[in-house]
Amino acid sequence: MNIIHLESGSHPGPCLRLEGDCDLYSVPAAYRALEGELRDGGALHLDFGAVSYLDSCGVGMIIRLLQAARIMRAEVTFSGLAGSPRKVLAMSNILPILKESPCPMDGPR
Amino acid sequence: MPDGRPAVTPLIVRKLLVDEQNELFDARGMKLVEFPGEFGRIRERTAALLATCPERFKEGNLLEQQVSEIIKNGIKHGNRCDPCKRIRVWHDFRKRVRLIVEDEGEGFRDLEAWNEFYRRRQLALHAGDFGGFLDMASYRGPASDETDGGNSLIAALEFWNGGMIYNRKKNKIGVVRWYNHGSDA
Repeated sequence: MNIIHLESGSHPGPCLRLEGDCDLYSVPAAYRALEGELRDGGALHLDFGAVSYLDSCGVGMIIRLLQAARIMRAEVTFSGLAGSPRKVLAMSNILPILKESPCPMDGPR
Repeated sequence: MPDGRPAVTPLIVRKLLVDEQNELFDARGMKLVEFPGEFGRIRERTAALLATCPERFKEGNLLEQQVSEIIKNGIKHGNRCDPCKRIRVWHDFRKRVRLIVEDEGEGFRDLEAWNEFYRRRQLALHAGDFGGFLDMASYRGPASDETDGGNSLIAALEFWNGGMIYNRKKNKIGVVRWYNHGSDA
């Protein structure tokens, strides 16, 4: 899985695009990279539009990020959750706690 | 959740069940594949297993993802990633997707603890207790590590809509997913 830094535009923190398979093999390294982007009181946006496969490890990564963000009083927002990744999140009952917003790069520039 | 809290959701509490005599363990007419429990080849083994599965049952890659989770549990938690131990998969892709997956481990010892975890998790979600739910969103057992999401069984209970049953030893699981868009009978 690749993690691409996007121009943040008006977003108050890093905007990252995840690409590829978010699975048991890629998640450990990806989590460490994403956790390193969290800042006290900050904001982090993750775009999943280029993620085609999400397994329980990927769901667990999202949960751990939200847990870490809560401790740091940071906010994590999501975009691009569609297809089977979205179905996996729905079946895991995680969607209700995700804050979704348009990717800052998708809006007017 | 505009105010930062999850919307109230219906209270749905499912359970992992043990039933040695369940018909889901009747392997008559099913094909058997057997392979070593190599952690690094879980997705490859899953893809090979599903090579003969009709496309209309695959739901994009959702079926692959769910089957991969079962095989991963067998290899990692059952066989403890010991490549000398094997995974056996009986499968039947006629009319619906039906699998029996058996590992050579000691069985899922934490099944009752998992059921209690899931009950409390769902109660927190239903009550809109965002903090409590987030704390319990993933199951962490004694052997959990960074490659365990802690939620695969939650999705599995939803996905395997025709049943999901463990044998008495809890090292074998039978699952079925039915589809409502016809059959190839």
